[in-house]
Amino acid sequence: MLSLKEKHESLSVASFKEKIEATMQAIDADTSGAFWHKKQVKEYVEKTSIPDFSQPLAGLTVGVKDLFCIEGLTTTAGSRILADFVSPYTSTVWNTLYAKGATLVGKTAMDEFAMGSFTNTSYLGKTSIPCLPEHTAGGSSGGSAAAVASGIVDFAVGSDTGGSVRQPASFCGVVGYKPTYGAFSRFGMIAYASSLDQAGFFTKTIEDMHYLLGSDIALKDPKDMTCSGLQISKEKEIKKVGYFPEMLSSSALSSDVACAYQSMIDDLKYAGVEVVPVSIPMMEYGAQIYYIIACSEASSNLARYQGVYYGQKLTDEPVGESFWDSAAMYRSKYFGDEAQKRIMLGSFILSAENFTAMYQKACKMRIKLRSEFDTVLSQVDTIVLPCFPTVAPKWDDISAMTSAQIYMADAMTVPISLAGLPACSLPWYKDSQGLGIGMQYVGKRFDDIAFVGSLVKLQKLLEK
Amino acid sequence: MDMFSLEKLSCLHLPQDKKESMQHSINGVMQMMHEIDNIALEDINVITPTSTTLVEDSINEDYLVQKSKGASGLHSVDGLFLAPKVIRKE
Repeated sequence: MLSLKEKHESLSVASFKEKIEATMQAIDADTSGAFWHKKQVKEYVEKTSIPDFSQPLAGLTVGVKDLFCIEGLTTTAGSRILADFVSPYTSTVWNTLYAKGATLVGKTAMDEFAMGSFTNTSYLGKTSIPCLPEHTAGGSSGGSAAAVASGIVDFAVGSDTGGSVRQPASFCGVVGYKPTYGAFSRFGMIAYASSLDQAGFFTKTIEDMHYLLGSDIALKDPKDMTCSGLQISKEKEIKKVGYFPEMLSSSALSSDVACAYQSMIDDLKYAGVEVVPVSIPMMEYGAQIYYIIACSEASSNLARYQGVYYGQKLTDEPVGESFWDSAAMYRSKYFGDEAQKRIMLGSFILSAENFTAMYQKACKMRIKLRSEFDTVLSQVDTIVLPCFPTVAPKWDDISAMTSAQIYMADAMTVPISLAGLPACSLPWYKDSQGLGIGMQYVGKRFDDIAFVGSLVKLQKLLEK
Repeated sequence: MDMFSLEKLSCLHLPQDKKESMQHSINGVMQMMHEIDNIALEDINVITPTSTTLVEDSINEDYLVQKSKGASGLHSVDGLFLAPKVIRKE
């Protein structure tokens, strides 16, 4: 298998044209549900010019999650409310990748407004693991993960608000990287929970992720005041790894995942890495804190969809007694069930009677969680933990789960998002059915490039 | 909070057949969220402003833009008021 660097270096103009043609045919034939707006994107690709081959990402094909705006292309965020929204401008993330020579070949599937864990809440259908149609590809960036797992694209862009890159990467057996909050611009990225949303990336290997990050793609953006970009810092060797001993015996973890976690710890020790138990008590409440904050921010962010600025026009709809009655009817018609649920939860939390006891308290707990992570990360080089309590569930099993059960299953990814830390999910184990189990490594804030570089070295050490 | 008030606050209008399942689902999640109630955190400073007085969340009909008010605007289409263009004088 060629690395991203080798693919870039080996391409010529003629072979690039052949590659794009073959990629578009593979996208047409894809049955996992990873790609959306196929016809429109195909027309867009036909008009795309040959990239400048001196750029580091020239010749590489990309799938981009359908919440990144690209001028002239439909951007739905998986919502019927944006079904006919053609973006008039381009997100900074895509602008940067394009400037570095990358070629867009697909808009990838996701949960509606990135609200979900299984890529099943959008109006455009579900996404399964390639070759395993009974199992979800995970979410919310399931389309991007499946696109890389199938080998159709060289790398893919997703977004990670509470685990939406790391968890599908774990299910699909690929590498998923969630940057430090503020490393990449959110300009042109359709918002779900603004204090948590962050662009993320999928590659086949950790070496490829290192090459991607080393291509100077995380730049400071004046269009996003929270974006600082990333600096290249000196790589360090990972000598001391923290792990959570209580997780090994937790009933919340399936036996497969607990075994994989134990084998990870054993292999690290065998490779000569010091592995120490660590504790972050506030993690126990991670899912609760996350959903209180995320739903509150979602209810505020989604208030803009009332039929005037975006999507279907309110004037085409049955008119209620007042503007707000009409808007309410319109929103209930075009938002999916999951989005409506989170809007209602957020509205409830932000109401005067609950604001202090719920929202403000969750913000306090988030500060404590962040400080607990910082304390632990001052004593170890990285922390390792699983991404999800089970392997990718079957569609039938998901439909039997309650919302509270689904939300609690995010308990291992959301605390890292709340702390704004970088994390990278690496494929570690496959069960007898071929279902992947990934382990996520947590790094230090804004140390992303050196952190991913040190994971390359660690991976090599473990392979020995 | 009852579903009617929650729908109003959220600017949603659920069909009757969806209300019960949505309420059930929301109650389950709220129960999970309330697990933070017993945590004591007085020693941590808040990052959200507390000086602003919060308004009571009562359903107030005054804020509704009535069709009649929209109709009295200079321009209206299908009952929706159109904001006038800003004309700047040099």
